[in-house]
Amino acid sequence: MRRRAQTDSDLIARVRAGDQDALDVLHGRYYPRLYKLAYVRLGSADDAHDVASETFVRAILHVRQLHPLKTRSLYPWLHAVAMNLITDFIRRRSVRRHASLDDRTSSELMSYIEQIANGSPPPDQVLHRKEVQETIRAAIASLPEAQATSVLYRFLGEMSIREMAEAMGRSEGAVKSLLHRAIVTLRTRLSPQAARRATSVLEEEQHVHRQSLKIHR
Amino acid sequence: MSIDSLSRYIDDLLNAEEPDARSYVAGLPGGGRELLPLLATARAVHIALRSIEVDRERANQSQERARKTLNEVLNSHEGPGRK
Repeated sequence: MRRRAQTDSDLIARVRAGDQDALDVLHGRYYPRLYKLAYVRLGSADDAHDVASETFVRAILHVRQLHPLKTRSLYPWLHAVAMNLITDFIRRRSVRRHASLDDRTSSELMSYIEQIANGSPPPDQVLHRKEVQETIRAAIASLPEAQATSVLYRFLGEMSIREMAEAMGRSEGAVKSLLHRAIVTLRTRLSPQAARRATSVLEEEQHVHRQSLKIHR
Repeated sequence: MSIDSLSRYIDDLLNAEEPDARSYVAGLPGGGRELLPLLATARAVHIALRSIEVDRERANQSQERARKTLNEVLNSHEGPGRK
């Protein structure tokens, strides 16, 4: 794992003493990750910013509880706070799911994955397209909870396997296995066939919704 | 073992290296044909998550809000470091 110039524990101690600069460093380190976590879960940029900002406010209000840290990284604690807020958001409104899954996007993604697997130079531009990001976002959001957490801890939290094991209360082998399963699931869900199934489910849901509107008129 | 290879590959991705997926499957049964698509999927997830853009203005607003909250907490009866 990358070595952090200033550890989270040091920064938290400074924040507890009222050091605004230390707070800025923590905010710069974690706000983007919390935003992305909320964006993956909610699919809304506006809501994701609200969640990330509120998470920091709650962290400051409870900063006394952050010492000593269970892990070297503050990320698991912030992740848990953000997830509570995200759950509240999901309860209050319906969250967009699978909206952008389509055959073309999935085919592009599969082509990208096959090219890497074949050793070709990866054309990463495809991953910067909104539709592709949305497809991957929806696939992560639809993972079983533990698998989704493992992906988000690893890729957004940039946590090591050991840190994840501590945070999740599992052995390192179990965490590696969980992450492996998550990637297998994602590989399957990003396939064009899975996209077709998701699209047909979405169309079916929309059809049922339209029928129910007709009945209530 | 493929689970360990995947884990090492993700470590290298997170350390901003440009890992060649094929070097992680050397010596695995069947040439690691089943593992390669998983490494590629991990790479796609990594880049897609990294590429999500964060609105700087909203981030700055949040930073200001956090500073203000810290000031309020420090000025309240029980500061953040006090019991």
